[in-house]
Amino acid sequence: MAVGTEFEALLSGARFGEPTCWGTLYDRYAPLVIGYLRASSLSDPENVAGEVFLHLVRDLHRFEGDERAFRSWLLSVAHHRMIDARRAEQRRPAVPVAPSALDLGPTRDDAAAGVEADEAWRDLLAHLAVLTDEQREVVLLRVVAELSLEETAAVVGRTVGAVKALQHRAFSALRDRLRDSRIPGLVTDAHRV
Amino acid sequence: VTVVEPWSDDPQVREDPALEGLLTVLRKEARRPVPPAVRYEHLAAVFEQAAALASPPRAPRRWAGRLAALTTSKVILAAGVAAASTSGLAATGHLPAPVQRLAHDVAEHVGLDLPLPPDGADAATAPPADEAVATARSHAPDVHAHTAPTDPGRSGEAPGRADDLPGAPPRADGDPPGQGPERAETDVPGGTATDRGVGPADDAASDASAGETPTEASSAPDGTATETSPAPTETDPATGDAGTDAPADGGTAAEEPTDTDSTATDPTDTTVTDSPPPDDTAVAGPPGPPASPGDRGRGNGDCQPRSGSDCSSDNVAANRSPAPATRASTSPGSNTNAAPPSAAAATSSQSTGVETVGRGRARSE
Repeated sequence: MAVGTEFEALLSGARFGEPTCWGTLYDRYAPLVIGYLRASSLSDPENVAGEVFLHLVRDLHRFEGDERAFRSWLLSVAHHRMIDARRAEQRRPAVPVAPSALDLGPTRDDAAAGVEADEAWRDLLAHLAVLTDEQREVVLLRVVAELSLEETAAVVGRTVGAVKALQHRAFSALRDRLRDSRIPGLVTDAHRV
Repeated sequence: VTVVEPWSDDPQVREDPALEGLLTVLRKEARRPVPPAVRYEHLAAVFEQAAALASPPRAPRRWAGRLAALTTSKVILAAGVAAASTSGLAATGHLPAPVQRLAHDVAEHVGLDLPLPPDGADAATAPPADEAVATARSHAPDVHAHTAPTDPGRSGEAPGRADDLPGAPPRADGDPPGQGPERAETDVPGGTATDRGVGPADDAASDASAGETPTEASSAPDGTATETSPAPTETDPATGDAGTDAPADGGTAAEEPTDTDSTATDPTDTTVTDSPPPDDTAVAGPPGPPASPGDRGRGNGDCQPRSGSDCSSDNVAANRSPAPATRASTSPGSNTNAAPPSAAAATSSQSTGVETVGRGRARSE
C-alpha cells in the first residue's frame, strides 16, 4: 500500500515536471530498459533508451495504472523502439570499431572489472544467440523485466499460449547450449545468487 | 532468502540448475547501473522536455482572430452585395432620381453609360403643379414656334423637355429624319413641356399645350409635324440661318396648315430637307452668322421672349443631350435614334414603364 502510494506520488510529480521524480523513475527503470535493449543485441542501446524515456515524458499523462502496469507499458515502449532500431540497423549496418580506438573515459578506470564484465556479457550474448528473435524477446521480458506471461504476451502482441511455447523452446535451446559448452563462472554466480 | 523468479515455475528451470544459473546471471548483468555519462545525458533531455510540457506556451487566442476574420468577411460580403445591388439598380435606372443622376455622372467619367433618371422622377424638386401649369400656359403660344426645325439633329431626344427640341426638319416627304409620322405627332405636345424634370408640370404643360393644339398636330395631312412647316419658309438662304428663328408673329404652324404642305414639299427648300447635318448641334444648312442676340439665351432653358410672347425655340446649347454614345445607349423606348421606329412605336408607357412623358399622352390623344 505504501509502495503504491509512493509510486503514485512519483508519477504525479513526474507529470508536473518535477526533476527529482523523474530522476527517481529513471534510476529505477533505466537499467531495466537499457539491459533489455542491450540483451537484444542493439548496437546503441543507450541511445534507444533515451528515446524511450523521452516518449515516456510525452505520454505519461495518458498512463493510468499501478507500478506493474507502468513497467509493462515502459517495456512495451522499449520493445517497439527496439524493433524500430533493429530495422534501422538492418538498413544501415554499423561498421565495427576496435575497442582500442574508443575513448572509454574515466568510467572505465577499473579496467579489470570492466574486462571481466564485458567477457561475461559476451558469453551471455553468445548463449542468447542460439535463440530466435521471438524467443529472445520472450526470455528477456520474462527474465530481465520480470513480466508475467500475460504481460509478456501483451508486449509482444501474442497470446499467452504462444508466449509459453516460445519460452519453452527458448529454455530447451539454452539447455542444449549449456550442455555443449559449459560456462563455469555462470553456474557459480547463479548458485551464489 | 528464497527468491521467486518469474520463470521458476517452468519445469525445465527446476530440473536444470545450469539453466537457472544462466538466467540469474542474465538478469544481473542486464540490470547493471547506467553509466553516469549516459544517465546525465538522458536526464538532461528528460528534464528539458518535462519542463517544456509542464509549462506549455499559452495558446494564442484563436477566437479573437476568428472573430476578426468573420467580421471582416461579413463586412466585405455586405459591401459586395450593396455594390452589386446598387450597380444593378443604377444600370436599370431604378435608383432614386438624384442618386441615378449622380451615378450617371460618375459612370460617365469612367466610360460607362448609365441611364439618366426619368424626368418625372424629379418631382420632388419640381415646382408645384399650379406653378407648372401657369408656366406652361404662359408659354403655350410659343409651343408651335418652339418646334420650329431649328435643330434637326435633336430628333432623337426624349420629348417633354424644354431643352430637347423634338422637332426635326422635314424631309422631302415631310417626315422628320429618324422618326416616322407618328413620331412627329408625338413631338408636338410633348415638346411643349416647359422645363426639364417637371413631373406633374409635364402633364400640366402637355395638357395646356395639347389642349390647345390637339387637332392641329394630328390633322396634318401627311403626318408631318405641322409646326415644322413654317421653318423652311423662314429660312434665309442668304444667311443660312435656317430655322433658327421662330416665327416673329408667334403664330403656330397649325394656324396655317396650308403652309405645311406647301413648304414641306417645296423643292426650293434645300437647307433643311434631305440633308440633315451630321452634327446634331448644327443648325440645318451651311454655317451661317452667329445667332441673333435672342438666341444667346438658349441652353439654360430660359425662354427669351422675343417679338412678343414667343419663346426661343432653339435653346440647345447648354442643355444639350449627353454624348451621342450616351444617347445611343438610352432605353429604346425613349430613344428614337437607337431603336427602330417599329420598336419605339410598339413601346407603351403603361406596360413597359418606359418613360415617355408627353409622347405617350400625345399618342393617346
